[in-house]
Amino acid sequence: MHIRKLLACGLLATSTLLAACATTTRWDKDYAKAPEPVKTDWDLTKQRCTGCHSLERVFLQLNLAKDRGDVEWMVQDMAAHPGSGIRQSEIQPITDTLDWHRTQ
Amino acid sequence: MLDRGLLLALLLVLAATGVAAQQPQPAKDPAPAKDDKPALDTKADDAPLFRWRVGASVGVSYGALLADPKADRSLPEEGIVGEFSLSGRVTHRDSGLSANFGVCWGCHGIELEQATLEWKPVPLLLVKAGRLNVAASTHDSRHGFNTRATISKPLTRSMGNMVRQQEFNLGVLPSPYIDNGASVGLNFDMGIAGMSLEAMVLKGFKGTGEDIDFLKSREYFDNNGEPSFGARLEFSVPLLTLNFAYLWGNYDTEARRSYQFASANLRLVLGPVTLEGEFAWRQTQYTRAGSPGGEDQWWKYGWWAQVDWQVFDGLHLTGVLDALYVKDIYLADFGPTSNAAVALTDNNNRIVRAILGVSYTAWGGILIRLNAEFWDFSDFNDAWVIQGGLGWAF
Repeated sequence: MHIRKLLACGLLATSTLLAACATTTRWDKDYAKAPEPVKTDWDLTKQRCTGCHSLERVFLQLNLAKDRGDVEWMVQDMAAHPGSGIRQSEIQPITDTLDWHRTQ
Repeated sequence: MLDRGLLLALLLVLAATGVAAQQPQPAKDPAPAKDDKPALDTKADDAPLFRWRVGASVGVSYGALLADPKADRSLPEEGIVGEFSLSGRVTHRDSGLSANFGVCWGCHGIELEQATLEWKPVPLLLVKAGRLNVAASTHDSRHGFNTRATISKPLTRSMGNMVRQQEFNLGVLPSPYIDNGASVGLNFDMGIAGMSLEAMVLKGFKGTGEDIDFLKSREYFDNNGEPSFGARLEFSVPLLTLNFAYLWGNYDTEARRSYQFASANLRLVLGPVTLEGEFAWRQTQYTRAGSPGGEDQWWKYGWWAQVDWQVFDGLHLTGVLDALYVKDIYLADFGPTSNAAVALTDNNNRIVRAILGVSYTAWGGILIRLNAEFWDFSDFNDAWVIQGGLGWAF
């Protein structure tokens, strides 16, 4: 009985780990081609944005951005939301990351 | 009627301001290479004087209560319900001033969810005044259909879609908590960690019985002329965000019966797995019928734990376990009461609920969601609720 429980737990842990490694978004392949530090900051951007909403929503709003200022303003707006976890020092890298995609 | 008129006038002014403020934009240049791009100064003279944006969110869900007897109507929102919200923001380039509005059309009709003037002269300081979406926890900025992981809100912050919601009078503090007031916030960035503090002065809740009347509390006028107060502390490191909040005020017309609310919540992001938890507590004073004076008090508190796993791309699996407790007061079909003669329960009640959900964000941002909920009551029959929903937001 204990062996079965251990096997079930092991299977669950392994599948979680594999899924974690395999987790991708439809924008990952775009960012794989991005220069540094945009490529690295994409992980931070994903983590901060998906805390509250889907990435789809980010890129829908990004379509409305006319310039980099609009992107930065949007990120500042999000940083002001309680619980966003976006710190002042992260506004610039997140802006750079999103604006890189806007200009592609 | 007056409120509706004021609301419409405010919306028209905000919309007109936004449209008038939008500066003509030059034709979009071909995308420059990153290296050629100058660093942005948002206060540069060539930046538009005003920036504005609008957002919208729509969510429709169907909920079915599976309980005995079948005529049980203890889930008032059983069936199809929907919510639609519209929001906007206009920021002035040089002054650090912004105007925000948010309108929700849902269970309570059209509600002004937010209408604030914000002033951010420096990154450290943020001052807000107007109709606030009070940040009593991080749920208040993520309460929308498209920004929470399950169709039902946590029991700590439940505003509806709740089995026996009339008996329990919703959650500990329904989210969002909308109120008139002002707040001052300070944000500190300390390298690897960030911290923000917020102090609030608010109109406060209203009530005439032994509990807060959350519908009356949304009215624009106060009932006792005394402000209520609140404070929030948020602490964040790269993977973890912690939030603590406290609210205090008097809710009766004589300003003698007080409420206190406190909450602590955390969010931990481990790759595709997000763990969230909250503890919320409220102490409410009341005067027992026939009592010569001296306030009694009762407690409502609960906890919520959620695991959200992004299996791949837009597919999420979510598991929730939460609970709500009501101590030292009876429950009747109209809410908490000190009168045992009309009560349906004893003076010690509990709900434990488990939710299993799956959601998928399809191309274009269309959200499809399915939830199964099991409700275990200490003093009522247990129930299952099956829910499905569609949402979209930008």
